[in-house]
Amino acid sequence: MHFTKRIKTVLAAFLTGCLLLTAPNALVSAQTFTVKDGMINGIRIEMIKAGGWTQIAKFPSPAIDMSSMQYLAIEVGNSTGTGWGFEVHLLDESGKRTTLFTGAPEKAGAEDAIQLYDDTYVLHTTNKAYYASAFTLPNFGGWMLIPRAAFHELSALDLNKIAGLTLNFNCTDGNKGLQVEIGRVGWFSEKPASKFSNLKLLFDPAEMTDAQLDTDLLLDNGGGLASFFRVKKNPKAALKTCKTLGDVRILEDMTEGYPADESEMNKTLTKMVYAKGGGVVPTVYKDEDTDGNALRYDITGPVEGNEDYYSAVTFVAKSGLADWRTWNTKDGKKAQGVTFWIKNLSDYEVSLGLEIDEYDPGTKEGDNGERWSLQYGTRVLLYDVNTKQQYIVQSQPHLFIPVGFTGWVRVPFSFYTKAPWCTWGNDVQDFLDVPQIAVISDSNINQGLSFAIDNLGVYYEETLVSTSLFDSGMSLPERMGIK
Amino acid sequence: MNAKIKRTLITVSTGFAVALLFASCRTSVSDPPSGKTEPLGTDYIFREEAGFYAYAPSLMQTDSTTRYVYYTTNNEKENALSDVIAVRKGTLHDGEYVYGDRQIVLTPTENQWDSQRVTCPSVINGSFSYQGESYTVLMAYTANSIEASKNFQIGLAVAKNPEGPFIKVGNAPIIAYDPDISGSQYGAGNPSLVSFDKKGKVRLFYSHGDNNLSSTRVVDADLTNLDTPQLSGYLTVSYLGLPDDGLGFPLVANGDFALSADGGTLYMVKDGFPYATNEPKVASKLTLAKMEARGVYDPNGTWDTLVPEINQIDTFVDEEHLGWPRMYSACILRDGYGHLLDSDKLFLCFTSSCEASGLEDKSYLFSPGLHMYEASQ
Repeated sequence: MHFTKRIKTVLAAFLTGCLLLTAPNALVSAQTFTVKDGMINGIRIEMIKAGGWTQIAKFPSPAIDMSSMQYLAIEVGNSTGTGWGFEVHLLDESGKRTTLFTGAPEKAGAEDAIQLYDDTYVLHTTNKAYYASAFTLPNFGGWMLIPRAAFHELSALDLNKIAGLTLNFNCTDGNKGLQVEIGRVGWFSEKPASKFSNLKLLFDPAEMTDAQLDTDLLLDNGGGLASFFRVKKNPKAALKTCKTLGDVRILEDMTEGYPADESEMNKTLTKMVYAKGGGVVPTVYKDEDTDGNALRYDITGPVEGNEDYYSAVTFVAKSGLADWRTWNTKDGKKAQGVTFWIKNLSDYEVSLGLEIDEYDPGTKEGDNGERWSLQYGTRVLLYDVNTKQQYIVQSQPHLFIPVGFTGWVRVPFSFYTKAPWCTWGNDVQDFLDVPQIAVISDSNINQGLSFAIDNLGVYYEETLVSTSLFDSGMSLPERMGIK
Repeated sequence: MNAKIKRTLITVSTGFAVALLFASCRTSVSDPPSGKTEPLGTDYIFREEAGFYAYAPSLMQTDSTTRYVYYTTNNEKENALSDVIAVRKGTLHDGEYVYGDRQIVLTPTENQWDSQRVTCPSVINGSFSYQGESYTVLMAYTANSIEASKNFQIGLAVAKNPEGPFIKVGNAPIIAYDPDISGSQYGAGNPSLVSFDKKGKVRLFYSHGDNNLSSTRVVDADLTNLDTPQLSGYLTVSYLGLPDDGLGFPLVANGDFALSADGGTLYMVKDGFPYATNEPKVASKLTLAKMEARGVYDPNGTWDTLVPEINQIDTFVDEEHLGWPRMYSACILRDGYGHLLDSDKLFLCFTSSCEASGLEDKSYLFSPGLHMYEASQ
């Protein structure tokens, strides 16, 4: 027996507790769903405007016994360049409900970490729930496994009689652009088997007719805050990925996404200068060593009246690039550090730093990014592409680039520390959402010096030096495939 | 040790010091005492004549009864700007090494890059060819061409016998320092050679100080043919795992290095920082550490500190000899190739000095001498 829409609405309102659902007419009703390309097969919720909550819910009837649940499994997709979160609730027949913990600070330990598997069932990354929400990754299609331990006060529920599952999406200004795809939903009573063959399926929207979507699920658009679509898995829906060089994911190559006309590009670069610092003139640089354009960074010295003597050129996430913001993992490998190509154009050592801003999972609109800077004594790998020499140099705290150096730099994340003035954030290098990075230089001590920089990115393999006497097999040129 | 004395010593040794000078950086010359310095702690391994000092040793044991100690001394009595390198041969007698007379084996060369001070040697054995001749002993040394304790560079010399004669290799430093680029600072010095293959391939550690940073670097070098030496890029030696010295991150400078017999472990003794604030402004403690040898190739290479602080207390003898207020420029007793003789026992040879009692007191100037110390692992 199916619940009527009225009953479903009341139940949903009860489920979501303090969430104010809109009137019954907010429910999607007897519609024909448009089909779009997506990361998975299922349904997609697209936010239209801010103003409340929307949800996708399933109310099993009769209630089902999930007492042996070890993981709740949700097939999720995200065709955007930004990670989105949603709340997950379980409801028993008596009306008691549980939601996810509100994050690592409240409950330490790995047992409650949410696991994200890619669409080949390979573990992609793990993450905690933050603000009681589970997060999808940009441009990602796969499975989200929520362990039993991630649910708050689960023991208070009668797990023998689970009567509802709701996925709630917060439509706020901060979530503009939100798109989340939901496919198969089920659970595991034991460790997931190969290809998740032991999944106990709760529902699969891709297999439902339009009528079944209407009757078997609750699709609540919050009174016009969102639209629902069918999505069909199509790799073409994926955003363009960043360029890769060996184990490096290049985020900024100073060519892609910039104006072809040099004077226009120079104007663009000028706009990227940190206004409170100044002291740098960024222009296009090309020579026999560059790969297309590089950024020439001429340090003109402190600007009188400006509050900051650091010059900085800031790079924000490029639209249309899927993985610019997500640095955490690549092909199951954990990011090890940042990398870039640089040429010292001066007759003196020049020093610079690379600052990273990241949003913690669950960051809300108006929150500041958590700032990561180089610490004193940062130890950096250098590879000179002309002399083929490798170096380990030490910073204080900025990186010193030797005279005559042209080549690649690797800065391990282990030498990044939170900026002392940054009193907010979770103190974790999540790197799940990096909206901007900045190349900085002390315009006082580097006044009159210049360098060219290009191909800023992230590397994913541990890297050591090799010399003629010691072959680590893990050197920078080997990692990049340029030996 | 008497607890009261120990407390007194601790109070003395914990005075804060901020100067970041290297051990060989002494420039002032004044009226030194004419007599020899009486030992303040553990005794010297040999005594220089009055008005002469001995510091920055390199100590190798070539067989079960023979040691050679190479060190810096002054060529002219009571002249602290006349540094040269000397060697003494030690022979085991009744359980103790007795060192013979000093022989000056390397001096400045007029109008060359090493025309002023020739100091801080490191010596190993191996197989080296230079200008058609074969040599079995290689020395790296520190030198400059100005009357100041800066702008140092590192050169090489070879010999067919541990006691020389040594022939300088070429007329240019193997590790150069350009003050026009990097500033008129310490430069490159305090080399420590470790053989890679007991032939011509070596690791050359050295202290480096420029306008930006003081650190220790290492290069891998194939010196089989000294007419065409091959050097890697420099690797800054890690400070990770070393005791915090309050300077932002632990400073690694003025160190000596040795490999375990199997080559898998690297040992280091270095000056402890910060340096003393009163003369002589050198270290008053040493740090001993080890790490996996491959750690020098890893930006995250981490030391295992064996002894965070070897200081005055450790050279205490009795209430008349409370220990040395300065302990710096130490080396590790090694075999001819820069390897430990015995992994269970680490012997150090350190430089001692008296300290000035006031601004006018220059009696410390020619007091530095050399001492042995056994460090437990």
